[in-house]
Amino acid sequence: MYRLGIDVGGTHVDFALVDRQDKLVYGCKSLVEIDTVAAIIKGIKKLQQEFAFNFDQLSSIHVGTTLAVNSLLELKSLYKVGLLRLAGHNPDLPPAYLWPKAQRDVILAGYETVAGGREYNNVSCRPLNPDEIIAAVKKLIAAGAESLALIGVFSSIYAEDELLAADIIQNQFSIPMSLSHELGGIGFIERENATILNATLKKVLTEGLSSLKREIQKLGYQGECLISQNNGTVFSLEEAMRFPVKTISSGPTNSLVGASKLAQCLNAIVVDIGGTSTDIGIVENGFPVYSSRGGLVAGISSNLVTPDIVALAIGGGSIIRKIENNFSIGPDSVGAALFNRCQSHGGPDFTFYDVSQSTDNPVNARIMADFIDQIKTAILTLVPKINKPILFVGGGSRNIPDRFFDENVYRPQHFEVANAYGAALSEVSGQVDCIIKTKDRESQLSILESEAKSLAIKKGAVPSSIRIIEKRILPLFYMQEPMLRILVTASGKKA
Amino acid sequence: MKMLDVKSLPLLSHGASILGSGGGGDAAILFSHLHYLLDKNGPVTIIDIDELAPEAVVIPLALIGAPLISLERIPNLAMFINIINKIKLDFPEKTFVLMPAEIGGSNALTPFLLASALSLPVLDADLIGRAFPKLNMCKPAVLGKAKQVSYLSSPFGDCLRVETNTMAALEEELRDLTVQFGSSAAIATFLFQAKEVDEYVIPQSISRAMEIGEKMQATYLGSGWITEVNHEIQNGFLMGHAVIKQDKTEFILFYQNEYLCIQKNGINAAESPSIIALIESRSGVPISSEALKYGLQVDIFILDAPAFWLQPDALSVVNLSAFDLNIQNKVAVCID
Repeated sequence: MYRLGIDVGGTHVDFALVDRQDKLVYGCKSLVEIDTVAAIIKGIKKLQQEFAFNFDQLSSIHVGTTLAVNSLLELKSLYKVGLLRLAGHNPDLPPAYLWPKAQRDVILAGYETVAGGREYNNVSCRPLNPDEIIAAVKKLIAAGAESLALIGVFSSIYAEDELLAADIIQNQFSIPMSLSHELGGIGFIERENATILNATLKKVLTEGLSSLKREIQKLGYQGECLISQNNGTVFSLEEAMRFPVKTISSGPTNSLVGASKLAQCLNAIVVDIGGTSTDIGIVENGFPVYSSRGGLVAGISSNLVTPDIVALAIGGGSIIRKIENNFSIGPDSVGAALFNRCQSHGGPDFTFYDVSQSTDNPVNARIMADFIDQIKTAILTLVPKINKPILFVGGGSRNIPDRFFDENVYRPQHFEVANAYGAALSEVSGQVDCIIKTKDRESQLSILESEAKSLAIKKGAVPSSIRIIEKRILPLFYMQEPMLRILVTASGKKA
Repeated sequence: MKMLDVKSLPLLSHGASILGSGGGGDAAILFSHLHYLLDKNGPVTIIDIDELAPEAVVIPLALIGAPLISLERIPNLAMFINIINKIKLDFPEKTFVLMPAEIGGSNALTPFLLASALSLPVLDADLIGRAFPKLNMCKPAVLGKAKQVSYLSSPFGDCLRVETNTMAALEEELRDLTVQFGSSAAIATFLFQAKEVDEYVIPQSISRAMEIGEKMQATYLGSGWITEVNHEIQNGFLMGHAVIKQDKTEFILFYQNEYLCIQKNGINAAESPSIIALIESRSGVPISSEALKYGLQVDIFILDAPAFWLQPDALSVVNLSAFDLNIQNKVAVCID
């Protein structure tokens, strides 16, 4: 039996076929010409021809997709969002305040604040009023909202108000809804941001994934098709359509996990060179190092789990311009049109790819050295000193000449499909989230950990591979009896 | 003329986080809100002590309670406006100047919210010169200003006037009321008239925070990775210790909301009232005690205490024995 990892990028769709022992048995790439789904179907057909297998031998397909992050950057295929704040104390700060203007203008249709929300001790801020909620939603829809985001004060601990409000809305309106308590912990503004992002991204993920599912079924595949999430685990297509924001940084996660496993190297610095950009991140014990504060996605802060990544706007297709005696690399790239646009193939643009074709030429040698220098400088902003192997992956890594590599800086075999391999390796997880008394902390923690582990096993995780990947302990201050909110996630390899 | 605008706000916010010595709440809590108000209403004027009008009443403002609550039930302006409306009843026909009660952490920004909304000036001073966990750890308390009228307000329009005669009563009353107000409230306390300014304030605190925000003036103690964080809530305080390691050097950091003592290989390297600042190496962001996390890489800096706290009477209120830390035990553990 095999698992198939698919990485859907802007220029290429990559494939990695993996056996029961997680060994990569075949990898290939497919250029995006018309649309991504077409490229996926073309790639699967190619895979079936070149590596004889049929769908009966496939236990599951794992798809890593950059649909979410790309549509946020390009501001395409997004829903206009209406935000409903259940916040009886009427905060003055408007939503999306410190967002980049372009994103705010396109995404946010409007917002309304109504009674609702809880204090830290579950006392109501001001009880919900159904008529007020309905009137607010009417206003939001009139303002152009196509998708709603609901957030209540302290809903990450006490979700009742959000659920009740959602019920009231559902009875009157037919509109997609995102509830904040399903998307994060304490921190109103960050959770609100994640909820607005989720609401806006429902369009592109629902469209993209529905057509993917349809086309794959047309090919005759009846098995599981799962989507990779930010934290390195997979969830169902349906869950991905409900929580698209949870796929937003799955690309970097997959590339880090895939590179580490390809190189059999548990601790490494990973440089993923694509067509337009280069992502650099760290792997420790085989897992991505996540950013210590909430992640920043398309310039928007949220409480999402995202790998700590330095992104450079340089890649294989970057356009190079000579400026007097100097030159600049990027930030624009010829992208998917590389072989029509680059000079080595008779095109008009001088790209990084062209540089790599003849690095004996002194100017090109300097450009190449500058490219490497930019990467090294970026690495040193992530780690104080380079004391781990550096792994180069991604299609653009092909452009780095062999002389830059040694035993500590190298391209692992199949480097060009590291992301797809990472997707194939995605794990399954189980999560519990509850409130306990502080004095029971030790005894309760171990019980909750085993509950999370059994949930992961139910989802198909191999028991011996399961470990706790997240343990959030939120102290609830100033309570008569001290309480903690505990959130535990267990994750394990897929059987 | 000094002022705070959207350009200088990051400097104040960063500098105040450093002066917080790990406490005072993450300045990020109020940053967006204040940014919004400054952007909407224009800059806030900051005045020096010698610019205080003789008839002015200075109102030290702060958010009191658990910083975590303000992160979720984000503050509104109404809570500050309620307070000043109540104060106006007690001081008719006075002019008002606002001041941060505490320059360390998020409270450095608190008075600017109201100042921006009502176009009031802010005095370049505070009551502490840094952040400390208890209300009696401020200059007027040390100088015996025990009889106080304080004003406390919730975001729902409730506002109370509280008269107390001792520091213990002040601390106790206000903590209790804060809990009833959802564990986070706006407070004005230690109000004073212009002529009393010398007995109440640490001068130039805002300028100091902004200077530090622009260019850190501190002694570098070392760097390392946080390898252990142990803390729990006791009596409303975050009590704990963290271990920071690099090669053969081991630092142990003790805190009660604020970082109060740091040991290097078992020997005290700095202690209260000196300011201990932890800066995340990669991002340059100051790390407050509630944000301490396993695996963070940090640089440790020490800043001089405000001179006031080095006088014997003041020192006895904020030296290590004034806190509830259990340091000796920890040394024994780390020698093991």
